[in-house]
Amino acid sequence: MTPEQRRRNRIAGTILFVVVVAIFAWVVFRGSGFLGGVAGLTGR
Amino acid sequence: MSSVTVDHVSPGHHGHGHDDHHHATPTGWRRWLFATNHKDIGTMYLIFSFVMLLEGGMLALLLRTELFEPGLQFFRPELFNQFTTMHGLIMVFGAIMPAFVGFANWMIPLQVGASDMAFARMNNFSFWLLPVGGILLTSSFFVPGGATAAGWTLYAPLSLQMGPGMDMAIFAMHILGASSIMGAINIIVTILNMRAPGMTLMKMPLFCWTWLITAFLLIAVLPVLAAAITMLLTDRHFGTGFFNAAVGGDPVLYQHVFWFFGHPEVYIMILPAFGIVSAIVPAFARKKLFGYASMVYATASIAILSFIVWAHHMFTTGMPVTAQLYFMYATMLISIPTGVKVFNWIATMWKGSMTFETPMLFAVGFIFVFTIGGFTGLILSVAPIDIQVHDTYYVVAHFHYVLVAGSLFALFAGTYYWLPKWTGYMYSEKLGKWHFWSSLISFNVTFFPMHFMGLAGMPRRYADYAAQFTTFHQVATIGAFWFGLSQLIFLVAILRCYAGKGERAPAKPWEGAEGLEWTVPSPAPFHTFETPPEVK
Amino acid sequence: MKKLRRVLGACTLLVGGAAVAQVQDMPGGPRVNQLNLHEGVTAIARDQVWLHWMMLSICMVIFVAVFGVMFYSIWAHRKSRGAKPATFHEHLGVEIAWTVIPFAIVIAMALPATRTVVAMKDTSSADLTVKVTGYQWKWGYEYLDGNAAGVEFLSTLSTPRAQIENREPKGEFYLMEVDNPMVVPVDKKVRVVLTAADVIHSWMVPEFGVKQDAIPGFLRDTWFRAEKVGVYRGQCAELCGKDHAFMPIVVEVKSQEDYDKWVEEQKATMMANADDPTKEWAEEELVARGEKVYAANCVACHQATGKGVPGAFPALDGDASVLGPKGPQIDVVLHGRQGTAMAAFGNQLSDVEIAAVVTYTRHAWSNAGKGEDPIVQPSDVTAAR
Repeated sequence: MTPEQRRRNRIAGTILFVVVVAIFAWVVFRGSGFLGGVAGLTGR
Repeated sequence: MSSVTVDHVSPGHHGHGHDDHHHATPTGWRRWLFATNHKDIGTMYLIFSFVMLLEGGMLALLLRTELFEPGLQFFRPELFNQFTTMHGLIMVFGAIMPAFVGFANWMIPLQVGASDMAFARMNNFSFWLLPVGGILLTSSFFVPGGATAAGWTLYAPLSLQMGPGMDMAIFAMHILGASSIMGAINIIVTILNMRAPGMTLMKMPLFCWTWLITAFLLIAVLPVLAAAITMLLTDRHFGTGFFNAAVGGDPVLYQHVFWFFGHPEVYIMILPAFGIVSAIVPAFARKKLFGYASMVYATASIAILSFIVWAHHMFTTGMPVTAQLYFMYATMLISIPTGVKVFNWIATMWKGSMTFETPMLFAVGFIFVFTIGGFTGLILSVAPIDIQVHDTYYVVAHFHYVLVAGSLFALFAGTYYWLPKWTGYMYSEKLGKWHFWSSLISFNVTFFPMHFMGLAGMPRRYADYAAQFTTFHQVATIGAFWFGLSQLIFLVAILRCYAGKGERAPAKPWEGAEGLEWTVPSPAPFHTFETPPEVK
Repeated sequence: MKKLRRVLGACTLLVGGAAVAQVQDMPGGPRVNQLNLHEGVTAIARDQVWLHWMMLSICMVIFVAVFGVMFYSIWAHRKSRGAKPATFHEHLGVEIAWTVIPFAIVIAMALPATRTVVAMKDTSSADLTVKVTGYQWKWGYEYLDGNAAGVEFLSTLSTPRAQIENREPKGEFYLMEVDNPMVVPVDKKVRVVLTAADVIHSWMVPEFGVKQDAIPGFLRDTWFRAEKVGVYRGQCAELCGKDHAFMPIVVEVKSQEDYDKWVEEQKATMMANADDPTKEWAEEELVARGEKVYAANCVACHQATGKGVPGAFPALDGDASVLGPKGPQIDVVLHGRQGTAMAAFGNQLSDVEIAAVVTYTRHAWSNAGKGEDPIVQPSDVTAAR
């Protein structure tokens, strides 16, 4: 692997990882309210 | 597994600025525990998934044994439902998904001309998480209350009632999910960044395309599953009320979140299979794949559509009529790109020059039997029909047709196809053919009657049934045992290759095969494409 | 000895053969080796059958055409027949055709289906509304309007345990019979409003073409108009725990007069059974009544021996809360235990029934009335609600 490839790999990997965490967080915090129309985390 | 222990130095290797491996191939247990080589890791994935296939299969045989006669003969219903639940979880997360990742690991670097995956150490971690998750899942049988018995879909509020086995399943699925996510990141970055010069995206073998698209699906939906099961966990133990109506939550919310993952999940399990079939049919028809570009677009369309159809699993939950209609229409649309793929495969065969070695038998068998599953899927998408057959054996028949005769047959096809490259030996064609015919016939014996049972109203996840269903249940049980035994033929065929029995395989054992993997020796040396090949 | 064995063997075969030969089509339920959907007794069910035949026929035609081509190709274009491979690998016209034509077919399929979806969702202008509640593991029916308003009862599987455990031969309506069926008049639009008390269940009657999930904390509805007098059977269609397979649905469709007569009988029975929760009950009365309540509601988990199932359902025999003060046990029976399968029976059982069953557990097995508060009066339960 060239250093350039390594650099690009690292960037791509980081972006994808952030996307994964963001989706998880969104579903738990906002998505639950959106789909079900109810509070979710705190109830009522 | 490479039996060569000396580095293969490709001609023209001049020690460029990138890493040079000047160590000998590792040996002993360290080779496997610390593996960063995509071939070794691929092999480990495949072994793990086959073990899980046998475990999941045992659970199926246990539950089919109980179902041989009406009445409760062997197992209490709670235990029976542990079997059905764990059969599903193990097959989906332990067998099918890791098997396809194993193929990805072995073949993607070879097919794009890369020396290894983009993140070789993360690859190691991705694999070793799997036995941990698998053991956690299996051990859940042995805690008080046993394994979770809420169905592989783990609907709330039932899953909130389950004992500690449920929490173990949640942790196991987090672990297995994390492994898949890391694998998907690895695959995307490898395909996007590490292709050999000249290998444009539209020159890649279709197997790489299907895996690229599948990997994006995984990235998008596995975090959603993780969220769903985390919400189950907090509802169970930390006082949240996501799915508890009494405090303002909604059980149907769980179904929305789960199926938002669940529907793309089933395409995750079939797209790589499409890729394998798209490699094999042209090879054995000695004719290029028909409509390469449409195949790419069709795969992408299927993937995009898969995000917007999830509630066809929820037609009986009582959604408004507009939603019912929308999800029906959107789901019916998926049959179009899927049909295009089937037509393209047949057009590849048309006016080819075909031979029917085992990989081709499984590939053609796939096309035939998967399409039957596709038709029952189209029938299920018609909401009024679904109301009658939802949660009946009709659905069980449908998804086993697409997952077993679909995904599993494609995995068999790919194994026979690439086994010479992995081991350096040809498998026994006689054993392969026996495996194929025995599996094809016993599979249909097992699952075809289930269509009738479902239409007649036989519900799913039932430990006992009205006596009128007895004959079909008995046929299904006999077929299941026969199918299970047939897989031992497969095991023997593979073990013989690894043991070095059989003809030695040349670099390209299949006359019509195309792809960079056939330019390296068989078995593939430990290091390949250390210098990227030139692709015209 | 040999002769005896031969005779015994023949008898077994005969009995076994007789048992198998005896399985007939179940009236209102599945036929033996039934291949297709029920013909149905409602217009919706008939629509579903029609739609299914339409889909199946179109799919069969496409299947035969496509695989006819494939199998022909497998025969004609094989290397062993001397076939030489062509070199074409694309054709825009053909690819467009086999995208556009399937698209048109799918639209044609969707049109009749749309009509039925809309019809199935229209629960307006019902003649009768019945509320159905799913419990682990039985159904509850409550009539909300008309002359039957106020009639309510539980409907539990009536197949004897002995048949399920293979100690007796299986009856004609094995697993699809109940003690108290739902009864409706023929040719009337019945709106079914569904909910559940614990987990998601699903109310399914194939002959009506009806399936609707019963979701705890929410109301959903569906409807049917049965066109033929008769008895129709269905089963729970959403995994709901250990006895998911043992909570069937039976609907009796009667003529209007017979229905009215049934309503009167129900009301009379309810009056007669109306237990007076304010009076003092005698110990033997409570225990006797409690034994019946226990057999109908508790035995599935806590077992007839009171020993429960270790690791899953606690034993009541020798249990501290059963031998201790009455308050905590009444509380658990009334309100259930969060996070377990112990349901809140306060919603299903009357004060008299709860007092009786608690008293029974305090007298049964080795508990034998030895603990504190062996007798629990209905007024204790009323106070605890």
